Amino acid sequence: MDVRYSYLSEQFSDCDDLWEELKRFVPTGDFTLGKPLQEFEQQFATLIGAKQALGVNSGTDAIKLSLRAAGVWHGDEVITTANTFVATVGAIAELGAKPVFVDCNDVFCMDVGQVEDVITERTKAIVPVHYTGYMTDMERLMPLAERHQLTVVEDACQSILASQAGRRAGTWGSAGAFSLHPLKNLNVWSDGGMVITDDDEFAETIRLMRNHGLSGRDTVVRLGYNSRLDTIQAIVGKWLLPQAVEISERRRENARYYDEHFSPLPQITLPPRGGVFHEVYHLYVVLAEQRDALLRHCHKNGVEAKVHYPVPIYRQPALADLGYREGDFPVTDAQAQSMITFPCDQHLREEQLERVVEVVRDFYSCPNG
Amino acid sequence: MTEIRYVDIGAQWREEREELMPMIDAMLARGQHIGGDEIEQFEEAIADYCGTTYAVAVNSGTDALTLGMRALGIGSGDEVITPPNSFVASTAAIVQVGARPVFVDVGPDQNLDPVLWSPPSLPALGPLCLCIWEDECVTWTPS
Repeated sequence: MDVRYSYLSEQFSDCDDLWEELKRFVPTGDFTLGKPLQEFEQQFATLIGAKQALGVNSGTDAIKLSLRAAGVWHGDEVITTANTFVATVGAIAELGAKPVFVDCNDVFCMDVGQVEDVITERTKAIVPVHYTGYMTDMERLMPLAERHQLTVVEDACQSILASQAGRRAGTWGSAGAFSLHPLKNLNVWSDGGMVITDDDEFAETIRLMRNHGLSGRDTVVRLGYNSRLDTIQAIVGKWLLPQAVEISERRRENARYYDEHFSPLPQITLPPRGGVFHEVYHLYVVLAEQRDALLRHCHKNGVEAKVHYPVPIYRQPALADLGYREGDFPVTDAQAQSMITFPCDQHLREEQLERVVEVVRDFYSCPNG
Repeated sequence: MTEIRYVDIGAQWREEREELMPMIDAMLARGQHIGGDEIEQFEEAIADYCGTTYAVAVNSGTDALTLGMRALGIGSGDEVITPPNSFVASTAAIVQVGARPVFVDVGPDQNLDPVLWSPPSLPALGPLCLCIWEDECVTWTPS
């Protein structure tokens, strides 16, 4: 029996009511901004506990527009983590700013203790990445950022509904950036993203920037971008949003099942769980001995495990000009060699979870078999 | 009195719905929400239509301009000539890549006036950002 990674064909197999709403909406032809988007934004803001939410074209643009609204531009430096999806770094670089990396901690997030070492007079912002569904230690990062008067834009693309000490990912900094990409915990049928903020002026700037800087049909008050969340996708998001908490809980249950069955295996190391953090497992990642052989064994046996990522962003060829070398971030490097991601989504059936455990156990009892 | 709306996108949907719905349904059933065969087929059809070798689908016309300029190496310190009567996106794309928009007036056809923007009145130029207006494309090769 196969355990696939993507569950999208199952997720929308039973959505007749969504189809009905789309059929009612499409003849209006109101495909840009509009009421469904406003409703989705309000519901999203309520879900996370923010004052405002602004739909944009992608999680990447949610980061980019937030940084731009905070004044980041050519020549500035922005601090982020050495292992993240390329989008975090792409968003910084697109503005002409320079990404500056710090190493990760044992939960794949920014090691806050290293941030002050890399602050220079050109540093303008910090982008902590709440990677895999964990959270950066925002209780430590925020006072530091305030002391240095640096803007914090949270990359919460993988951590919708995660929290630290009861406070949600995305609500700590000046802005929180979320992705609605098809494989995210709250997803739409295309690319999509959301910026959340409690600052009305900041929200207004994002609203202008996502729509060419147009304050009305005929007036451009600042040059912006074309980065609106598609109205049709807002309807899809609105339909799925009431399930968001349940999706997150299902993923947590799946993670608990894996944890329980992997923890007796000496070859598997689980990252620290719980404490003040509430993880949401966009990715279920553990550290595994003989990772590459385990990955091949999984694939051979129908378990679509993945690695996020075998080559961390700071060592990617596109960033060679920054001058980083392998070994600059030892924790990130060590994790890149041993981290493995197992399917953890809300559509997995019990027998699929059992199968994953069985395949992993089988590998370590006879790893050459 | 007959009311004439500026645009009725819904009318387009009413005409196309029967044919489109099964295609959308099939795409969703496969869970292929990003990229995939449909994109490639669409790109090939557009390339055929335009008579070009390639077509690459992107998020918006604005991003088509931005990515096009980036691919051509246009960036900080460059100047890009564009008409002063376009939608804001043409100019915003130039600014986004870090270049400076330089406006040149248009002729009677609303396109860049070739007399005003031909050398030697302009400094040495790299690739130019051309605006297609009313389906007419202004073309010019730096000599």
